[in-house]
Amino acid sequence: MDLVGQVGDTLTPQDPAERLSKLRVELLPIDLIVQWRRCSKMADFLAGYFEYHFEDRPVAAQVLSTGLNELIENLAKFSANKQKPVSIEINHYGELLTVTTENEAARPQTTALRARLARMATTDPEELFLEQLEHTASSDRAASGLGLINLKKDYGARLAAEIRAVPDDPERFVVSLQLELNVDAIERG
Amino acid sequence: MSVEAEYKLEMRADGATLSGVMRLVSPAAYRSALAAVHDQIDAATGPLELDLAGLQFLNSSGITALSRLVMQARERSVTMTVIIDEQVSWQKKTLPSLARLYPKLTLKGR
Ligand SMILES: Nc1ncnc2c1ncn2[C@@H]1O[C@H](COP(=O)(O)OP(=O)(O)OP(=O)(O)O)[C@@H](O)[C@H]1O
Ligand SMILES: [Mg+2]
Repeated sequence: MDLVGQVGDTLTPQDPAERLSKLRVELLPIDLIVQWRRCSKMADFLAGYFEYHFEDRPVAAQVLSTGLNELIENLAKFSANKQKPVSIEINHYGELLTVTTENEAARPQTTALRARLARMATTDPEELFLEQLEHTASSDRAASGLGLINLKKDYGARLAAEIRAVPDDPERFVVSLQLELNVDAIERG
Repeated sequence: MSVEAEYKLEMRADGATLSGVMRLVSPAAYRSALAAVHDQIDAATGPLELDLAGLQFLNSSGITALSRLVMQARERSVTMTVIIDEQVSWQKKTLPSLARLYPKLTLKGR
């Protein structure tokens, strides 16, 4: 199967002129692996930076940190080359907040991500959540596989990825993962 | 790997209290961190209480780990109460879904 292309939920097109804030960070996955707590620290920092847009700042910070931490952990775990920079970009558009991460991944991880996002786009997240827990428990797998499902279930996040080929390496792909959250879901907590 | 602890686990006669921030790297890391709770469920002769109210953050690997505790209680038919804080977003959202795994698990606000 060709992995390249767009997969997941349909995201809302945004007008850059409507953008209120933007922040983009580049880092090396190896730094996160060496000090795992950096995932959490980076998530908290970014959440703290964006919480000023929200009336209930503590609640918004909790929600944003939770979502960002999952995506940052994934960058650490699933980047194929831990010494190659990955990026996190956050944009705030009044009604919506988007988080885009970009990394290179090997074929198996990219295949798993594609399958997961495709399934998530058509299946009730609560059902997927319970199914995934029973599945991990019975197979005693090392991976937990719950992060993206949980963001969709708890905060109504929309998730999609654009997968591109890496020139000259048929086993590597560029994964651009996008998470879209409604501002009122962030406010509600 | 960092060994600084951001969370605290306190064992009590009839349960355990987890607090702080728990964002460990993998389900295996949670397995060792929560070994004492697994042992307690294994040995339980009565109901247990798991107090999570002070747990500000738990990542999704941790939610999987928590579900393993719940499933172990389910297997041994150990009645379980989980103390939660409704002000903490992940607790309000995730724990009711987890409770659906096991009818003898009750959530209680602190
Ligand atoms: N940035 C990424 N690049 C490549 N593959 C990814 C990326 N993020 C996720 N994946 C793939 O999608 C799967 C699902 O991701 P998800 O975050 O839901 O679960 P997980 O990270 O395996 O476990 P958990 O998040 O519960 O600790 C992963 O197992 C991985 O194969
Ligand atoms: Mg993950």
